[in-house]
Amino acid sequence: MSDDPVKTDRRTFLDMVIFGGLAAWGTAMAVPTVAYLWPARSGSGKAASVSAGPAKDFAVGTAKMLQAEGKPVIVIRVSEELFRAFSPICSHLGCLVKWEAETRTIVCPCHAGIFDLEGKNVSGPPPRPLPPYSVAVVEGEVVVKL
Amino acid sequence: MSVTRNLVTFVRRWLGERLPMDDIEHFVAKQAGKPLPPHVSWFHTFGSLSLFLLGNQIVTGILLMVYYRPTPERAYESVHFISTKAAFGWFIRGLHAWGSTLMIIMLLLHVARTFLMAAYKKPRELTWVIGVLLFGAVVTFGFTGYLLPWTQVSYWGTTIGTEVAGSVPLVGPFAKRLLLGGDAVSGETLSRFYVVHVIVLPWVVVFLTAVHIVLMRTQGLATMDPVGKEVIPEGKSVIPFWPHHVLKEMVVFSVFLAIMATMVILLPQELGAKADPLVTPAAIKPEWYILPGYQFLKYFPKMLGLAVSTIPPLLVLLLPFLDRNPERRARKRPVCITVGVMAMAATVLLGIAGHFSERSVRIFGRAYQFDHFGIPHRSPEAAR
Ligand code: HEM
Ligand code: FES
Repeated sequence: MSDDPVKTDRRTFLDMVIFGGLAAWGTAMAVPTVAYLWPARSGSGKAASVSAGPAKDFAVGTAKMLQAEGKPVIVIRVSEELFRAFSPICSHLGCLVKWEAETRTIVCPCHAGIFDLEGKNVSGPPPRPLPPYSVAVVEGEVVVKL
Repeated sequence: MSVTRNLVTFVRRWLGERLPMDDIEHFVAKQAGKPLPPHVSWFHTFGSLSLFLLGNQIVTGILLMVYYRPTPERAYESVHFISTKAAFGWFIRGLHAWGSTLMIIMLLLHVARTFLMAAYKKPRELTWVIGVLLFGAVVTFGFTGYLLPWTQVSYWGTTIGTEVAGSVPLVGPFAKRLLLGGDAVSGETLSRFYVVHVIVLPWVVVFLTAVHIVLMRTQGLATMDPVGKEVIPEGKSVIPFWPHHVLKEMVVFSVFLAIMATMVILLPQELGAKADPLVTPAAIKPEWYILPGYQFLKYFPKMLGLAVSTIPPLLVLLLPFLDRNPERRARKRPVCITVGVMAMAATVLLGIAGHFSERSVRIFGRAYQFDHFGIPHRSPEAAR
């Protein structure tokens, strides 16, 4: 800078100080503002599990909607032995899917997306399967691991 | 009589000793007497009506804030209280809710008017650009306000809306989390939307409107002459702003207020069921003015749709710089008018397709199932 041939007069220098100062101040404030607005992590983050109640009260061919760690979970009793659990958040635009007993499919009420018993997207707009959770019957209780 | 006159004289003298009253009076007189071009008609009141509605939204909005509570536990109940218990609460809420819809309609008419009369051309490009930003801000008003009653439709409508924002490549997930204040619509979202709806947007819109109106006033309303050949309105044929145009505005405001009050009374705003984060109701649709855009997105794969859907708003924003034809009369700008009218028709068609999609409707005794894309299919089993 010292060998810069352009002479900076007093006025230009003052302008630079003022505008530069404003810019620096604005940038410095932007960081805490964005950090402040950025949401804190939701949930504990630890692997948790949630109970869907006693297996004997869970009729075959029905489903239950649970909430754990602020997240919804759908549990379906496919047969006597087989339970399945998914995140019911539709991979299209976030509506909650429903279990349809008559057709034994999982359907989304928003744009008629359909998923099969494996959670695979079989028709309609959803681009991806439903994320599965593992389910087990522990001492007669249906437990979903998140 | 003479008491008032004395008072006026006193106040004038008092102010005159402290402020350049002559300059101020000269300015006010010039503004009031501003001559408007002879073609200024009832169509030129759409902008004033938008302003009138902005005032209505601010006043009724402040009144609603008195009883409204922005928490998931109390939002729905407080709106229910306003609609059923608070004296005239249903009326205030109705004015605010209908006012928002009418404001969008009025803005669309105002845009159509300035488009058809080519008022956006040089030197009024910035007036148009600021207008487009205003329209965006008003739609955002509608989107954030939609969540506040915390009903099933507002909860799930917001879920879908923020999910669309979240599917934008790169910045989408970041923006979605910032909007929601978490991973899903929750109390955090309600509080964020509330702050944006009652503080941020009002300041933004009032500021932009002020600039819009100052620009419009300093440049004068556009005449129908070609760009560069505008004749400054003077002589016998001009219309003085005061009292002629203001009177016109008063007539329009009165008729409009009567229509609005009638709508509020005859078409009450339903509240619907309270939000349930574990049940998505069937047939969630966005507000009518978002519907064309929403439907448009369906015809493209997610990413491509979002990229393509930024093009029409950009074209509208940059219209004054794209349309270089100096003519203002519709007959002398056939290309622009044709494209514009076709775009308007396409938007209406998209809205209609969006309205009927995923619904079954009976037309002349026959049942039709409209699919995701709004295409009807005969549905014999639904005919019962
Ligand atoms: C809150 C929203 C708005 C308010 C309150 C508002 C208000 C007004 C008013 C009072 C006028 C003068 C009278 C008239 O032409 O009707 C005007 C002129 C104008 N407005 Fe708006 N406006 C808004 C939004 C918009 C939008 C969305 C656009 C276009 C995208 C727009 C473009 C224009 C243009 C180009 C003029 C100049 C008209 C001329 O010179 O003849 N405005 N606006
Ligand atoms: S949100 Fe599920 S199909 Fe669209």
